[in-house]
Amino acid sequence: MVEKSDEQIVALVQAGDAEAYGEIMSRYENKLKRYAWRFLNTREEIDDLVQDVFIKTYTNIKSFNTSLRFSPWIYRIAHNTFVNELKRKKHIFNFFDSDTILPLLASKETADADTMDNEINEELEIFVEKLPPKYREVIVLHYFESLSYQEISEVLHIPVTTVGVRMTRGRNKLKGYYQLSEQNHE
Amino acid sequence: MNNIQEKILNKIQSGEVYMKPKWHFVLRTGLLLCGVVIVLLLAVYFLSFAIFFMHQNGIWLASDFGFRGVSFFVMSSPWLIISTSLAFIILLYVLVHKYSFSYKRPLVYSMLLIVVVAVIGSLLMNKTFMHQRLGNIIEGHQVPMLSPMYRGAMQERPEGVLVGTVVELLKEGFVIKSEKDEFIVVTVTEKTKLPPDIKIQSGDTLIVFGDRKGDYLTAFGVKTFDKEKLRPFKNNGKQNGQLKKVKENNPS
Repeated sequence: MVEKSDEQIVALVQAGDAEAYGEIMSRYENKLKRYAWRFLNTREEIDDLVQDVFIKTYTNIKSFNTSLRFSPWIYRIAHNTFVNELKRKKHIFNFFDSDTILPLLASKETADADTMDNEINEELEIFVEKLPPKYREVIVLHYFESLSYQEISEVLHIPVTTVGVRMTRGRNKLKGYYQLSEQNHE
Repeated sequence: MNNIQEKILNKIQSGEVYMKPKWHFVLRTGLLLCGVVIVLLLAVYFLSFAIFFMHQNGIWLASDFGFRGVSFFVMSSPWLIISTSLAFIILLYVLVHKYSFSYKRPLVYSMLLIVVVAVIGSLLMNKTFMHQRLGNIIEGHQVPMLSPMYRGAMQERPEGVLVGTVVELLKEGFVIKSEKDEFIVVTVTEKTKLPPDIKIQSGDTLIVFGDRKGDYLTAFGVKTFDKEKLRPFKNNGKQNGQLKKVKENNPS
């Protein structure tokens, strides 16, 4: 039997099938927990935050248009919840972020990008938590949650070019951390 | 089913957590759209009023007189009104930012788009003579905020702007009878920019920009002015320089 898509299940939830929401939670619980702890750099209160995301998602589910993809929508809710948590704790994330003010040139994805991605994947786990939140988030969404640039743009409400620029800067920072750690080992 | 899922499903079944109805989102979107329209109209209104103000006071014309004229124009512009319009433009950006047409573009582009829409809207609004009509309606009434705004635009000119009819030519300038029936001695220097190809004569209607001290004004720019646009300003009880006195002090 063909597995129902997220959007089909959401349509059932919207029609009043509360049990179908259990399936949505099963599909996204681990993803959201992973996103939360990588983005927030903490394992504390993760369960509460993810629960909060699921409650907000259910409360607002009738505003979701089932002709669109569900995954960016729920990640958007998660992003807002986690950013509020970061703000509550550290007072970061400015409304006018320098990366989104000016038109930026799209970062050039070179032929080495895949090779570099593989190299970076290995080191990612170790160094990603050192990244500033705005770079960490795009790296986490792309490499760990497999979201495309377009989807990340929809989650974060930033231009796709800005996603590319943050990705490049994030990767460069990761490489810098890696090189620094190599030097220290030597 | 794990702990989180069980908890949430229990809350849903007990009615503690519930879906907001569709009409709630429709209403919210409707209100947001109304807010966007109202804020856009306010931004356009204030911007068009600023343009109207500059046209009415004649300060718009000062920008033709080089650096001095441009700095006079900048200094005399209604910055409070322009800032109010800018504040509404920023508010508009905040309101529309949740929509993909806004957030998918860099902030500069989105803001520029909103500013362009506001500027075009305000120019169109000025074409309708709405402010002129509104000013005429408000005149004689005390409407909070609007009365001082329109009085400032239609019944006063900034210090240093003089509109009137030349009544006497002097050796180093002329005497002008202003809209307030004041007689002002205008001094013309080498630096004064005069209307090209026209010799100022008695009876000419002019707009003069310069530094005014009492009944005397040293001009940095003079332009011919449409007689039809002369306005009988209220004198505020001030009756200044008598023509006779002026003549005595400045024999031609």
